[in-house]
Amino acid sequence: MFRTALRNVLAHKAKLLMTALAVTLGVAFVAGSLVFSSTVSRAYSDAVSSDLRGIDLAVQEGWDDGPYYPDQRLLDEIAALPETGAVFGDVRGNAALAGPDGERVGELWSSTAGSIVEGDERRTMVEGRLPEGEDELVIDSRTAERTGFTTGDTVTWSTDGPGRTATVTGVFETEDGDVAAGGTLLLFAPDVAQEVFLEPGQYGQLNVTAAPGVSQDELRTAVEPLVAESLDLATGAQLVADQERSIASYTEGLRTGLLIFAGISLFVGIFIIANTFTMLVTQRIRELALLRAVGASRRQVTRSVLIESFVVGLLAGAAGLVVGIGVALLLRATIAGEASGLPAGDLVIGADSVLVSLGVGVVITMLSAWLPARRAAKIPPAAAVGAAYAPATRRGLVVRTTVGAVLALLGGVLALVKATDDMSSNFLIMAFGAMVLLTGVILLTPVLSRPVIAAVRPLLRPFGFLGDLARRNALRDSRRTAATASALMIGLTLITALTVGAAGMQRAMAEELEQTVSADYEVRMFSTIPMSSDVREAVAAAPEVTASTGLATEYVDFDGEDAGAALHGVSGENLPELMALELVEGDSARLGEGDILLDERTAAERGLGAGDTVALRLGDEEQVETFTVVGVYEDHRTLHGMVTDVSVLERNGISTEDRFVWAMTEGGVSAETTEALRAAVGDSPALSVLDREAMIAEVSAEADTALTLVYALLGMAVVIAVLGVVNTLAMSVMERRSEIGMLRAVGLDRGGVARMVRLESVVISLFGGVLGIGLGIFIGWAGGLKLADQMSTYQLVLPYERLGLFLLLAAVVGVIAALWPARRAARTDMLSAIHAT
Amino acid sequence: MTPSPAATLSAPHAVAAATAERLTKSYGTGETRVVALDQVSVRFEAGRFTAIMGPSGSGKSTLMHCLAGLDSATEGHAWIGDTEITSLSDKQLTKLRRDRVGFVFQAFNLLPTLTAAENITLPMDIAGTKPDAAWLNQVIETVGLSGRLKHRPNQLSGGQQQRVAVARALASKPAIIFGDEPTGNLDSRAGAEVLQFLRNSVRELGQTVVMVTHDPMAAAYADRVVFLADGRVVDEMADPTAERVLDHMRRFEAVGRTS
Ligand SMILES: Nc1ncnc2c1ncn2[C@@H]1O[C@H](COP(=O)(O)OP(=O)(O)OP(=O)(O)O)[C@@H](O)[C@H]1O
Ligand SMILES: [Mg+2]
Repeated sequence: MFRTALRNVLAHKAKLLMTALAVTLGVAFVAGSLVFSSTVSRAYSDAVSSDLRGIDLAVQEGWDDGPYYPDQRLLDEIAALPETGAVFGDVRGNAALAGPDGERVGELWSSTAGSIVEGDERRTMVEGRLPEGEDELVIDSRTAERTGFTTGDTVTWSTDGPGRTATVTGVFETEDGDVAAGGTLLLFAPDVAQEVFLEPGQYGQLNVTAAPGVSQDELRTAVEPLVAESLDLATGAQLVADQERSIASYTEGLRTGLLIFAGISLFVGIFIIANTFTMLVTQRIRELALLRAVGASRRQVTRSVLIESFVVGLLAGAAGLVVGIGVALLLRATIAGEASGLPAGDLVIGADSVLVSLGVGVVITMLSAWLPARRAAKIPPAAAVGAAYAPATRRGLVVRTTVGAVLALLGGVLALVKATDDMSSNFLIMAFGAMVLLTGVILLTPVLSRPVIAAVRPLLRPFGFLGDLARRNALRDSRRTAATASALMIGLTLITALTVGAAGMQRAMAEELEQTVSADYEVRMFSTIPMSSDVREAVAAAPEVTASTGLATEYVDFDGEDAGAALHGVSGENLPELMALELVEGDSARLGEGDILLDERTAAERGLGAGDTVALRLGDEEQVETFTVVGVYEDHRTLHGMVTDVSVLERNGISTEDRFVWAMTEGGVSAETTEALRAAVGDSPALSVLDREAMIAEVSAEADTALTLVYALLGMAVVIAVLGVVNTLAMSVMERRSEIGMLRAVGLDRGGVARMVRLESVVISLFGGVLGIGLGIFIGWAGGLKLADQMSTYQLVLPYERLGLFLLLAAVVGVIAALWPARRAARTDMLSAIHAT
Repeated sequence: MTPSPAATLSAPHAVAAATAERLTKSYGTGETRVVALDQVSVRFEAGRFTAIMGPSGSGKSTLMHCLAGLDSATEGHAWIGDTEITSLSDKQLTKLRRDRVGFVFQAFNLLPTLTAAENITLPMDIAGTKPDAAWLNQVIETVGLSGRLKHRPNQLSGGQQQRVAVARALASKPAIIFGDEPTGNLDSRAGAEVLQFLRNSVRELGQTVVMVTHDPMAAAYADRVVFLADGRVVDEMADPTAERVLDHMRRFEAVGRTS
């Protein structure tokens, strides 16, 4: 049996080519994801462990009613121990560096800074000298290479505040993880770093190396008595283990994300594989019936088809593995490194990656061939002697359609159901409903083919008679057309749903911004990390600024309770001018000394209204401030809590950090004003100065980036679907050889034949495209209904241009898929085709 | 289409619908060379019904293909009317077949996706031209398919399918119709209907038909029979009857056996 199967595979290798390619691509995606994520994981681990090299014990910051840091005294004490070889105090924080163009170098999250002292093994000076004063720093060699900065240059840098300038006194080499990931590392003299990130004399971490012959545990035992309870101790081994764990969980996320998309591609592949084996079985009815006639059992027939699929799956899986490794290599070359912040390293091909890839290839292929194999077994021996045998029964179609209709209905309803107020469970139910719906529609595609293809008929009219022929050809085997179109539909459904959802979101967010913020300018850090209060002061002091406010948030307790509540600190005087607050109580959002505004929820929960007083405990002190409620505001985009003048917080010794600083300027938005504001914050590379337009663009930009990534990942599913169309067309062309020969004989030229095949391909692709886009719009709309609950500004937005583009893409897919089959059809040898009986 | 110089020089056949002149067709080279047609010269007059007969492998189909522009000859010339086709490009041949030649094959004559009526007008639909309605009605009338026009091929009997094929071949009023064993797959009654109709189309509609057949009864419907053997025209017979054709064939077989 195995040999028969192998011979079959060889005999049908042309017909199996597209199937094998589909499996190969799917597996390649899986293998690429696995290999790439383990490569990234290893690269991170390497970077981290080399960074941790030489640390036997670390004394880390802890918590004692606030962050608690090791200090100089502890450092000196540890240094004096006989078990101690050396001890370095480390200060670490985020600081961005401006490149020669004034823009930040690298991503903000991997823009780091710290302290450097003589003898630190992890940093080797390769140029210049160590930094000393407040305005000196050294940079890592990768950053130096990237920016062209060298010793003696003056650079602009900043933490979370205005930009500062400093002179580069040297360049060092490091294997620091953030630097390996494309970040920057600025190092200062310890006292400078302490000043910037902590308090004088404090360290973020003490790194201790053991004296010769002292083990990590012995060192720990010796150091432990010196260290306050509130600080954390970790040996070098523990540090490495901790880091590996956090890296594993990060790369786990990366891998899962990639595998989800690989799964979608494989799912699409299933249709192609099943289609191919169905066609092969149909073409081989005689042969299989003959096997049965000469005594093969049903089981043996099933097995012969399954073994054939096993061979195809294994071969394609192996090819997929190789391609996947290539993809991982390519990914590493293009994605990893400076731009994305993934470190580069040697390719890691684990045994698990290999086994999973091959396994996936075999299992998917055999699973998809299962139904066709069973159908093969049902072929009666009588079919061998030429009795016509129609394997696809009407009853089967009726059952399929019924199940499909029920599932589609169920899924559709489920997608629309609003389960709870809880956003995430809402979306889970929607996603599940969408999947059920998609499955239902896939089952319905054969019956949908007629009406949908009839609907695209007007598009074919310009192609006249050939368009008509193509349309009819596409409708000939509705199951085959359906399976082919389904493969394309899946990818387009997902792409469309996400596009529609994102478009609505972007519009809603822009609208909300438009409605709630009236400021000309916004100053913020990436991802709205809080900024130092210096920023709001610098902005307020700029001569162009007529009014400005920051938005600081502090968690405070109501007097006599421990329940924390958000209290926003703003410029009470400027608030009404900069933010559009809808008051449900009170008549002005202008806040004087001791005034407070409440959000609706707090007001309702506490039973408070305008004119009432509220007592709040601020800061660490047991200090109670009493406020007068001057108004209650409606739910707002950025404000979710009580609002008061920031001076109250400052007076209570709370260091306020703003997530936003908004400003109105003399004469509104202009390029000069933007420039002036940038200068006002010292050209800080960590901060963005956004005018109204940029604020709105910023909102869209993040969604756009995510969308582009998803497009790229779903692109593979579309590519595999193209293979499916190629496959179906090639098979159809082969089966219709005589017909094509006859058409040629009665006067259709080669170009006409090619056009006919191409049009059929376009019809099938448009069928998949129309279904996918339609379904995607529905799912996007259903998802939007749930969003609308949360965002009052949400509205369904249909990005017609993009949807039109997707439809065009479907048509283009058709044209591309037809390239080879159409050529083959055009080359059909007329005479042999006519005589092939 | 302007006649080629060769055609004007050596086409003395104003009334010939198709002409072959020293037409040779060989396959392969050297040892394996097969000569399917060996310097065949033959004329098929317009308005006549000609049958081509001969043993299997004698070159009947090959001759038809070369004359109809389905295949190219190795040497010699062929004309449809006064157009020399041996010098035409593939595109020109396609157009010639579409506009001036009709075909009836033994099988696979019809597109399963089209109705009988649509199959009949297929060549004109491909060309994008309007069929002559009066002529079309006459053809359909003659073939006796009026009640079946909306049917698809799989709803028609083999005989009806072949009649649809004949109607299609006639629909564009071609200069000549070629049939390669058009009744080969039919039982004698259905075959007789098709042959009757082919003869009617010649007698009543003034068409020209050339038909390859193995069946003396079928040949008897023709005005003339051309006999091929080993790629050559070996004999011909006017106003054949089944007995005479059969007789002829027997004689030939006997000659073949003694030689
Ligand atoms: N494509 C080809 N390659 C090689 N030889 C061929 C080819 N087509 C035909 N022949 C040979 O040419 C000769 C004539 O073939 P042809 O098909 O014309 O015969 P025929 O008279 O139509 O026979 P039949 O009555 O069996 O249909 C045969 O010997 C055949 O083997
Ligand atoms: Mg023949």
